[in-house]
Amino acid sequence: MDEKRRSIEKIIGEREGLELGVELKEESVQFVVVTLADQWYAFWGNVVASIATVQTITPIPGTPDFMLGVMYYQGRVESVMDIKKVLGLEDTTITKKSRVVIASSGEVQSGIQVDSVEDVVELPTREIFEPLHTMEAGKKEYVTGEIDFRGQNVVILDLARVFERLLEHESD
Amino acid sequence: MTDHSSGLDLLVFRERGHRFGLDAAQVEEMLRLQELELQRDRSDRIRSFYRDGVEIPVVEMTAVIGMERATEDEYSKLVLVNVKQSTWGFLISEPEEIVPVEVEDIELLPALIRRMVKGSGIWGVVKGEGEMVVLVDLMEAIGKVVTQGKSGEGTRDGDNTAH
Repeated sequence: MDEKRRSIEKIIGEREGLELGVELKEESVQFVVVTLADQWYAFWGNVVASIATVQTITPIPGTPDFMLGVMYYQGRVESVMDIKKVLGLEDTTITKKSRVVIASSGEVQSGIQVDSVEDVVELPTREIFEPLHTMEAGKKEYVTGEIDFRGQNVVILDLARVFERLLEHESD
Repeated sequence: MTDHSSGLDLLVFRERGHRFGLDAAQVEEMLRLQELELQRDRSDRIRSFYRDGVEIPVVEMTAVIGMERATEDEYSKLVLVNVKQSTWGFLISEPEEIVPVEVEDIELLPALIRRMVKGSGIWGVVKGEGEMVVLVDLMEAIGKVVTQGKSGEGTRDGDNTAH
């Protein structure tokens, strides 16, 4: 009996340990969900350093039209870009809900002007899906997946990839 | 603006509503435009006027810094600057003031923008709330104008003999 009991206890122990392990080990990812031209988009949370209200933006001559200029925020001068122009989305006006998402990847840190910040959500990795193949060409190269947000499919925009492409373009 | 390591006296001016600053130490003189007769014999980009028998090339500041060019009647002053042992004239719209700026108040442009404006002469800003003053290095900016003049418009670059 002792031997059998120890064996059963071992099996149960392993099973519970495994189940507990699964719970703890399930990876989750943070997303910042924003609105651009009346559509929701998600940014990977690990590249978002902070979220600011829109301050006075000083334009810098000689930059492409998606570069709005520079903004003074928390003692630093940040570039601010209009990602809608990069993605080929419809232009919108600045409202009280508009925000600048400060994103950082590699050697680049820049503000991204968005129409609003909807939410910051944490989702298990199993809830990230492959992006649709029918997406417009302008967006496709920057989209790395989709998530479900309030019952809608929302594409994930990879800001690190946006920065990489811009740097490649500028060094051509 | 070769020494960026210490504070500057900035000549602040406006072009198309935005504020720019250049090192006042580079400025030799500021002349009223109405008193000058500009020649259009060089090119669309580079004009000139004669002073004491010496031809001085003149460029529009908006064109130099990559802005949409101002209209003729927007320009009010000609700033004379010694660039690499030659005197150049820069047409500006609204000179505002000369202000001392400490190096702590100056910030270089963010990395992404720095790459975009490389060689244009725009190198930093005077940081602060509200619209910032964009810093222009005319030594660097004029190099681009001369290159464009040589390659695109057949200007008589190099015959500026003023010292």
